[in-house]
Order: sequence, then structure tokens, then C-alpha cells
Amino acid sequence: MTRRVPEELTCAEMVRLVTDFLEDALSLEDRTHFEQHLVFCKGCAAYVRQMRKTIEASSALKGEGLSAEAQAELLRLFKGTCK
Amino acid sequence: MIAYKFLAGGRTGPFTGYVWPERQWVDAPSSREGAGVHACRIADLPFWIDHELWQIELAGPVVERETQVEARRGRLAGRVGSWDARALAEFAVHGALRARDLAVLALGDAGIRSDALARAVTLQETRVVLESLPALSGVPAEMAAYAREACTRALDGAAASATHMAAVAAVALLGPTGFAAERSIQSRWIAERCGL
Repeated sequence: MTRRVPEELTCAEMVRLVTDFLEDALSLEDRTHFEQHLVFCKGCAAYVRQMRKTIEASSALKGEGLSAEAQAELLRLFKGTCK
Repeated sequence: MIAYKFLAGGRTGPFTGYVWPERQWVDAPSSREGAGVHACRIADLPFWIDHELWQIELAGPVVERETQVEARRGRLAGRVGSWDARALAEFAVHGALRARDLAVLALGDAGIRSDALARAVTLQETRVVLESLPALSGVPAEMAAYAREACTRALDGAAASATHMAAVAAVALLGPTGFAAERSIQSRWIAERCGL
């Protein structure tokens, strides 16, 4: 289905912008469109809630609890997803 | 300026999580554009639907934007009691039946009789009729899909989603001006339903 309302964000664009939204780095116009999308899209609203929870949970993790092997493996996987 | 503000349950800001105190002035956390106290004119209400509707008094410079206003200070003046769970459910039905009405128009324009659809009273009945339509194509197919989806969302209690679907359907049928026109119909519905 084509996008009928040009200024509205699609769910794919919401995913792309979520980090900027959570870091309060969106322009006023983009933030307004982002928030309006959250009002009517339960899926994106749930996604943003999950992202907030993930940030909250991961910020409590301590780096020193991670073994060198696990850290190397995570870095390898992360680099793989960023190709 | 007196305006309106939708909040989630417990006077909670839907995006910030901030719990608004009742009848106390709240200052914006900074003077940066966009960081102020946001509120709605009546015409803005359909864009920001939530569980609680409050009247809010705004002070300081008030900037008016396309779908909201922003001020330096705000104070919840009182809850709009007529905006409750029943009003929210009725608003969802309103959106779905508007999408249905637009589908009826599109089908009529295409020479397809849709008396049963126009006569359907409940959302369940509307959805059954929509699902029993003959194979459609082009705009009538798109409009029927919007109406069906709006019914599903309204039955799911998703008022903001059902009414948004009606506004998108209006664009499909009427062109770019349809969105604002449908949102205007929705804001009048809220104002009348809540006596604003």
C-alpha cells in the first residue's frame, strides 16, 4: 500500500529514527511526526517502550562482569551486523 | 490561554512519563523550542488521543503550530469528565463508520451497489458485509480495505488508530485535503461529545 499522507512517518522510518527520538535529537518537526505516529500505531508504541526498557536494563550492566572471550565474541558479532 | 491536553492514565504524559500535578503550575524544563508545555486547540485533539482529557491553562509566550500549541508554563485546570472509556470507545466506532461511509461513496462512484454496507449498524455487521463484497480493484478495493481495518481496530478498542485510518481513507478518496477535512470532522465530534 502506498503512503497516502506524505508527511507521516512509516513504521520503517520510525525504527530508523527511534534512537534520535530517545536521545532527544530529532528536529521539532520530526519529533512531532514521530509522536503522532506513536498515538495511532500500537506496534511502534510497544517498540519504543521495549527500547526504553532495554536501555534501562543494559545501563545497569557492569562492563567488568564480562569475560574477555564474551567481549571478543560480542564485538565480532556486532561488526558482522554493521557491514 | 485555555487549551486541552490528552494524558495517559494517572495524569501521565504519554511521551515523557511525567506525572502532572493537578492545579499546580509546571514550568517547561528549558526554554529550547519544542521543550515547552504542549497542549491542543480543539482542532488538534484528534491527533493526540489518549485516555484522559484535561483542560490546561497556559502562560508565558504561546507558540501555535500546525497540530499543537506550546507554552512556557501550564497548569491542569480540571479533567474533562465526559471524555471517559465510553467516549473513547464511541470515538473508535465513529472513525470506523466514517471509513465505512467513505467506502460506500467509493463503491457508488464505481457503480457498485453497497446498500447492505450503508445500512450496517454495528462494527461486526459492517466487517461481515465488507468481507462479503465481490472482488474489487483500484480505489474501491483500497477503500474497502481501509474500512475493514478501521472496524478491526475499533473492535480492538484502538480509537486513535481507527480514526487515523478514516483520515487516511479520506485522502485515498478525496485527495490531499481529505486528511485535514476528516480530522476536522473528528475534532467537531469530540467537541460535541464532550461539550467543549
